[in-house]
Amino acid sequence: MKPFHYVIIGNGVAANKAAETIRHNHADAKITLISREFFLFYYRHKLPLYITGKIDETDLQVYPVEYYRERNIRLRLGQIVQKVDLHKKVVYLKHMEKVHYDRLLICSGGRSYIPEIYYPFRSCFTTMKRLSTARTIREKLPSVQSIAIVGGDLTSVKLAETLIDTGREVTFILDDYAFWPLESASEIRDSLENALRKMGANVISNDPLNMVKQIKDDDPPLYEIQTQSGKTLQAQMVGAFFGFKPDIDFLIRSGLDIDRGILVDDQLKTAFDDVYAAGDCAQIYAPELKNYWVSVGWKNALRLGEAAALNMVGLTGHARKPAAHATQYKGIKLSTPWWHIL
Amino acid sequence: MTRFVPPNESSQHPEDLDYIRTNIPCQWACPALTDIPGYIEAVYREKYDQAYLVNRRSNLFPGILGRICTRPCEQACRHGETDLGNPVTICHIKRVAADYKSDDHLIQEKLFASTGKTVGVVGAGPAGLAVAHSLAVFGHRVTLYETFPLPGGMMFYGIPAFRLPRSIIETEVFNILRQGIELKTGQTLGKNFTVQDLMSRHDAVVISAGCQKSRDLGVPGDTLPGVLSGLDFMMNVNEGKHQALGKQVVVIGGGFTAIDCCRSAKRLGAEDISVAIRGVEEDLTVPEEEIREIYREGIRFMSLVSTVAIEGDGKVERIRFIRNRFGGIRGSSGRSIIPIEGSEFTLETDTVIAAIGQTPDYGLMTDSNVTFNTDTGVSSIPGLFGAGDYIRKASTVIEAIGNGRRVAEFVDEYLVKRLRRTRTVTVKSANDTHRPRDWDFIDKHHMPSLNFDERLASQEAEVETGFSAETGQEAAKRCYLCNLKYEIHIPDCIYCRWCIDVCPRDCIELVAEIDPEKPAHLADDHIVTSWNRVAGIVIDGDRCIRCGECYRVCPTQCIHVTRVGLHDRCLSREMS
Repeated sequence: MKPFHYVIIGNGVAANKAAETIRHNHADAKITLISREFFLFYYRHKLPLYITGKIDETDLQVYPVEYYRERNIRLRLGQIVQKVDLHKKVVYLKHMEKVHYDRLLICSGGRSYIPEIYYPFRSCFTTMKRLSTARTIREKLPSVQSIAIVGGDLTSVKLAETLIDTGREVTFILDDYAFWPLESASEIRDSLENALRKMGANVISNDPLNMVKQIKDDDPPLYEIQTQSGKTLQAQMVGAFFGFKPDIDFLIRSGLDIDRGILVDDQLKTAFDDVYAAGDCAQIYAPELKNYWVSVGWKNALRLGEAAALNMVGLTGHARKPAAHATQYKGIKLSTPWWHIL
Repeated sequence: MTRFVPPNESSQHPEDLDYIRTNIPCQWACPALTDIPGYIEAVYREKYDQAYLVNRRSNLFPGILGRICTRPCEQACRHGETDLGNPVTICHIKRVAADYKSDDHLIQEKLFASTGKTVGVVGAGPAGLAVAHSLAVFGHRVTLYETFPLPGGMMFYGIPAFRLPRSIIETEVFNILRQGIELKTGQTLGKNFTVQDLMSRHDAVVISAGCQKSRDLGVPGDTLPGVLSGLDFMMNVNEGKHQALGKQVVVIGGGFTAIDCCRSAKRLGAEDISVAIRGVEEDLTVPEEEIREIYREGIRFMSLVSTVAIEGDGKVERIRFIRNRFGGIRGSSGRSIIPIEGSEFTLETDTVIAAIGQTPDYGLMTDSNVTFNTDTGVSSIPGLFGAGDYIRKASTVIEAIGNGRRVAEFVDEYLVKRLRRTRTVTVKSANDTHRPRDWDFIDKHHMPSLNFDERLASQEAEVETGFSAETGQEAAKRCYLCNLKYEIHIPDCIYCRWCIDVCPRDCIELVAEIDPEKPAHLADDHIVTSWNRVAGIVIDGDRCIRCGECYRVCPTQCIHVTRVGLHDRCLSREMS
């Protein structure tokens, strides 16, 4: 008899926690993790250190490959999910392979979001959500001296700090889109501005980005950035940090309900039996809020991955919206580890 | 051999029409059956006049549709299938044809001789104009009766000028009217005349009065000052009437009218605009690019909400919503939107615009028992026909045109007692296009648009600035030209299988059975790998991307190329 097959799309925090929980509760099941990235599960928040050469790729790894071997978790890395047939219970990979599942968990996470208003300039922006893009930035960085950062999130602040430490000139352009995912950016803008200035960054505040264009196609290239007041500056790299949006394009027209993320109930179950979603890609209904919320951050992803896995193995897990608590980084107070749908 | 229409011949056989459905999906998806590969190839060859005429033959308004078409063709485009990238930007290429045609290009019409019959058409919107045009071409004398001062219907009064410049409408509508069509404006059915009056004046009458009645919200407070209907709001905008909206505006609805309302409100000075939809963005029929523009203009979507009440003291002050969740599975019969008990919340607002759809005003007709066939327009009263949204409920401009042209054929048949125009599949010899495979990997081109300040400066500034001629050609290169048909002449084949080796999409297979009556679709159970069972080798047109690699590699030249088209064919010899 074929073993019960759990397929998990994604290889981030929620996916790995789910795989671990499933294995703990279902010893003889087949567990497959499918990830578009070629790398083992890594610490995303350490990417700024990796980019500036302070740590190496192996320092990013959360678990060595033996971890998966010991737990008999099959890793399918560098494989892109093309589509999912939820009626036939088949995941189609881009190289035309079909993977059948008995229960599916989608933890495909998020990808860098560029606000629509800045869409025309997207070719000028460098984003940093994945290790593959971080690796490209690391390769380019030795020839880059000036960097402009638009938007803002914790990763970008950390990146600015490490770049300044390595002697590079960093200009931060703060606008309404900073500080994702918080809604009332103005409340934290002052503390963010102070922290950045203290680090040694140039800060342009209350003067949003108007235009970015490439003015030299050298190595490194040169970009001209213009703000709405007409202020211009030049930089060899323009980093865009506007947060993430769920990476779920492969699910469009699959039959799943998708709004800002995959709509799931508080047990992380979709409308399809045996299909669950957790982590940054899920939009979770919270009965106490009578509204949906979207998770952000490592801790939430851990909880959600565990809750989804418990439900998948026949136990009960609930996606509890975390209580708002303050996080402090470099004097910047953050008080919302989730956002709800307005 | 799987060719079922000999070259240089034509056919109306249902099997041949079915070939078009599966092999030229863009053309089949177009309600007006526009020859899309034909005009895209003409744009690539810089023959913009020809591209414009190919378009106009079917859809009458290439300049208008190149800007506002809902693009069912792009959803069907083979280039958008899994693994093949993004659909060809068909609509933008149509606009290239209209933008770059020469100033002195001639519009050619194949006119029939005059019949001496007269037809009254009520409504000069897209369906009415399409009916009038076809009937004028058939040689009938047509009079258009229109309520509004200008013809064009919803193209003029419903769509804002920043999406569709008025000059384009004026030019293309004029090109319809100059076929000898008489336009009488300020004439409203049920007010200035009745259907019976028209029936006594004309040999046939077509009602294409559109959908002019807005749906009410049906919630408490929906009659408060500050609650507007989407249609009335857009008509006022397009007539240049001043409307004070305040800073906060909520638009309810997720169709094109709702989107036009919120973008127009932005240009009228509203600062905080939300579009409230019952479901989610994926359910919207509005193209993705349009939704992106909404976001760019700082307008936000509120999904999964339904309106409960509109509140205020003498005018709108707040709107109360309830959150929804989905029940059942998308696409299944059990699918529903369920309000979440106790999840009500309010939003402060100055204006509410309800754009939740329009319906035909059947009260215009004195005889409410008249019924219409929604496909042919034929009614229960001989000589009375209906066309467009009036009989089919609110649809799109391209659907109204497609339906108007079809109804005109039935009106003509009623008047002259025989069919004079029909859809015909034609097959012509063709050569390999030498289209390089690299072109399949050209990225989709995005429509350039005005920057934020320029676009909000006025209601008239056209947001989308159009492709340059060079970009248009690049975009046209992406088209596979699915109107080409690659076929293997099996008696000449030596089964070297080089074609199979070079084929990038596994569309050539050895098969155990060939049905000469059927087009070459590969059924899985016909495909064989054992030589003992091979009866032939076929190209599956449904999967083929017309790359021509098989044609070029074939050592015996047993692969033939033909060009298949779907055209209107005139069956009468009475043409002038």
